[in-house]
Amino acid sequence: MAATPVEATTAGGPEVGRRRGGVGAFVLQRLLQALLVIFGVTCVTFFVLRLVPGDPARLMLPPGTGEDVVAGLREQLGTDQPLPVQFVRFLGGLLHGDLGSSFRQSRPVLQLVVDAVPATLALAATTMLLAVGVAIPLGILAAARSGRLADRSILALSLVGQSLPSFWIGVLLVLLFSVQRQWFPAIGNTGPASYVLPTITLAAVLVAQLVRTVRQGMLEVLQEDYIRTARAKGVPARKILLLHAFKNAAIPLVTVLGLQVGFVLGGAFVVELIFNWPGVGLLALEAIKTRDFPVVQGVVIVVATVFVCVNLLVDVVYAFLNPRVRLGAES
Amino acid sequence: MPRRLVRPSVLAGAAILLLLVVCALGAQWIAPHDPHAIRTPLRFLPPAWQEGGQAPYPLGTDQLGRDLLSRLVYGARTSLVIAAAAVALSATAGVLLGLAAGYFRGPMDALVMRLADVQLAFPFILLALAILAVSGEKTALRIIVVLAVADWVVHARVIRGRVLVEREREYVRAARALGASHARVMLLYVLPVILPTAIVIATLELAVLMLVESILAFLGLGIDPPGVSWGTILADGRVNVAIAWWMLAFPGAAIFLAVLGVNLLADGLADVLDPRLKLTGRYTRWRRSWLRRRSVPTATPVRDLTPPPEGSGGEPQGRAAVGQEGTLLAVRGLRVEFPTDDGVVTAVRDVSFALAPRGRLGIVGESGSGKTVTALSVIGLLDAPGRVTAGSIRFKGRELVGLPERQLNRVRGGEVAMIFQDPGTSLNPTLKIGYQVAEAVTLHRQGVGREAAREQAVEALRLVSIRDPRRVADAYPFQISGGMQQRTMIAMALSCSPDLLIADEPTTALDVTTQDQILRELDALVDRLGTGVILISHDLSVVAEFTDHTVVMYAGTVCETGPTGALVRDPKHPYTQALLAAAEELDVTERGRLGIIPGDPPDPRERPPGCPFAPRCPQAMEVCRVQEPAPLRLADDVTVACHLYREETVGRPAAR
Repeated sequence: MAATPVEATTAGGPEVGRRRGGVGAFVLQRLLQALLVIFGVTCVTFFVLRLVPGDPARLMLPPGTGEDVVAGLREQLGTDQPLPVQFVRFLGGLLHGDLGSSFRQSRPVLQLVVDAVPATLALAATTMLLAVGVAIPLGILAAARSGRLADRSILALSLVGQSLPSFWIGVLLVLLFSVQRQWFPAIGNTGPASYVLPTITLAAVLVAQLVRTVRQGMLEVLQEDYIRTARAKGVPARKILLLHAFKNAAIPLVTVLGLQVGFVLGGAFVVELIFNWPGVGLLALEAIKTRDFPVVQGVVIVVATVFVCVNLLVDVVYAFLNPRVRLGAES
Repeated sequence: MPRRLVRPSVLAGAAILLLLVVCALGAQWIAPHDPHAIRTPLRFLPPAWQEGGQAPYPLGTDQLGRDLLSRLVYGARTSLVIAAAAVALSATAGVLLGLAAGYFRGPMDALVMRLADVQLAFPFILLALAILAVSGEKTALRIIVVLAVADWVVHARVIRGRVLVEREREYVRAARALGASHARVMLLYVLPVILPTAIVIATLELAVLMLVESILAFLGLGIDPPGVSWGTILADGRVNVAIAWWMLAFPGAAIFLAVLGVNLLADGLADVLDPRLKLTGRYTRWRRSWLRRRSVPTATPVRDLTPPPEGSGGEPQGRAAVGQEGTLLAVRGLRVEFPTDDGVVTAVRDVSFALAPRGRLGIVGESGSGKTVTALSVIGLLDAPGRVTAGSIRFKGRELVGLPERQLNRVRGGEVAMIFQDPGTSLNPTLKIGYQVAEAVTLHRQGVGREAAREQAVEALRLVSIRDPRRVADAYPFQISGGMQQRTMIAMALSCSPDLLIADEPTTALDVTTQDQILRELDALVDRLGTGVILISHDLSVVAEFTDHTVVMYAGTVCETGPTGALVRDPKHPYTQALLAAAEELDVTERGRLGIIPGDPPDPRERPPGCPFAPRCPQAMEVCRVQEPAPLRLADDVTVACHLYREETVGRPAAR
């Protein structure tokens, strides 16, 4: 070794792994944030639904119902009370996990909604899997062939996909594959085959958006100095793309995916209606049709909570993917 | 109109939007029938061209016998009016809030952004659905307000981001200093600058809201009759999916084409107004080319196209160049060009030098002198569209220009290695150091297994004076200091015992004490391994310590070459003299800068005639501004390109 012992010492001992907090503190912080957001969302939902012009009691009853009956229903719903009183009651109920009772089904709202959540989540999961499975390879390909025919075609397809109304895709799929040829069931959840059409419907638009995100993320990472280092080492292009670049591009992608879960949950309304899928979307639409307002409110709150929780999970995954966060260098 | 707006896709988008506007404005004249007229006997008429269809109802009728075409025409009105009004409302609110948040920052910013966060924290379509469900009647106005409330966030966030950048600009500060009020600065100075962005966002959101409007209607929460929405028509069609395909196909196609049209238009606008927002992604001609099969777009080496001009010719001189046989690297007449939108920029022109095995060559110059581009072309790492358009790069007698990527990959990292200026960004943040060093070994040493490669990596780390190499190998780059990061880079570069190491400003990013240490270590290492080195630096004193031959570059050309000792002792070219003065006068800690030479290097796009250094040269003469000086051989291995040394004065021109 050419370096003298003195040099070797001054070269500095490795300051490896100064851990400040690490994942535990990170998750705790995000958990508190999530609780705060859920509370905020709950409040917003409560007030927005009550400040919208319109009297739930009157809307729930057939036109021409006597004023005394309407007043009775108001009392039953609690909407006769001043808003602050309603809010305090609502919060009190919330603390006990009580979102009120369904007006039509005389069951607790929470139970109704929680029963419907798994079906929606299952659909969301298959959708995300399909979308990610298609969008990541296409996005990487587009970035690798940036500006060339493959890239341009993928981008053009993405533009078309983003302009397609998902419910149109859904209805056309039903027409083509359930009505004209009975390949897949058109309604309900009766097994794995039932997932095919709703998943494709939901994923189609999502793929169109994700492809662009993946491509853009890859293009940015490919400009980085460490990619040049890898090239200077003689790493083959394919390995640079799939390992050196994608490992870095995947980190912000995880956050984007978390936000897209919201898109999927929103889209679930449409798809559940089309395919009569027994999830929260269908529950909410039924409740809207029958003017069952406690259920509508409950669905909004529960779905928002699910969304926040999914993003919390995404944050944790992000922390594990990103060594900087995992080892406590930043949060 | 900007040329780029006149494209088939944009024109198609504009045509579709125009059609929508015409339908929206003149629905009552265009629609052949009353969209609400119920004709029970004519229920489910197929389109006119199908059997059973009737000419007065070209697209058929629905379950109540209403004319589909007329309903679609009226649906265009609903779609466009609701979406456009909602965008106008949300864009106004969003732009103003984003402007205020970005401009004032502080509590205002916090308030707006937290609000946006909460709103983005859950799928807003849910709340929109709930609101419309609770509100008894669904008038156009209510739908507009709900959509606008859902949409303002998008505008506000993007605008805020742009304003945050703009507010730091000179013109904003100047306006404030002149006493303009905040409102005046925001509305008269900042707003016009961000307006293009706002327009693109608004167009994009118009498409989004048209979609959302149809979704709401499809879910039964659309505008109340007599309003007609495409979504409602499609919902009717869904119920009758088995009987009337036309009730599905046409309204869906209408929504799709309308949204596509607006998206195409938005894409074209983005191209002109704010390319960052392009839907079809961005690509410039400055894209990377490294997935191409060949490293250089021209398939054949082009070294013969432009023979080295008279004067620079012959074999490069100096102790580093010991003729063809003993030469490790010979660069001759190298020319690198970057095609840009403003024309071709020549980054490097007619650069020649040579290096003997184990030789040490320094390339000195200010930033922009072409020294890094020269180094990158040696190793075939030029970023596209930059390319070698003339000259030859021979490494151990083998031409590297035009070598296919696959073969180049064998040379890179194995026989020629490179270390870069900023170790902090040059190491992959998501891969462990041990892996990054071992990767070079596995790539270039045949039959070395994963474990063995790792052991070699640890050894390489030990070699560069890293005290606890095993722990460092297990660390991520961000966990170690800058000096250790650069040691890692050196370890990675030397792990396969290359014949040539290119070090591009290897110590510039480090603090001064670490700089000297690393240079001394590098010195000892390459000495021991017998590695030839090209050291690139803006600092002549660094080059003086390290190399035995020096090339001074300015504005992409070589202005002086010679043995380092002689060059430092007796610099010929005024630029070398200035560089030397800079290195001597500056305090050691100030070494990063070269401000001591007044003026700036010429813009490579507008290279003046004559000597590129003339505008800054204290000894410039008339001829310097007219004629570019040819390289002149002064002594056996000293060449200078300067009119101060004329053939008659020196008596012997370079290499005839």
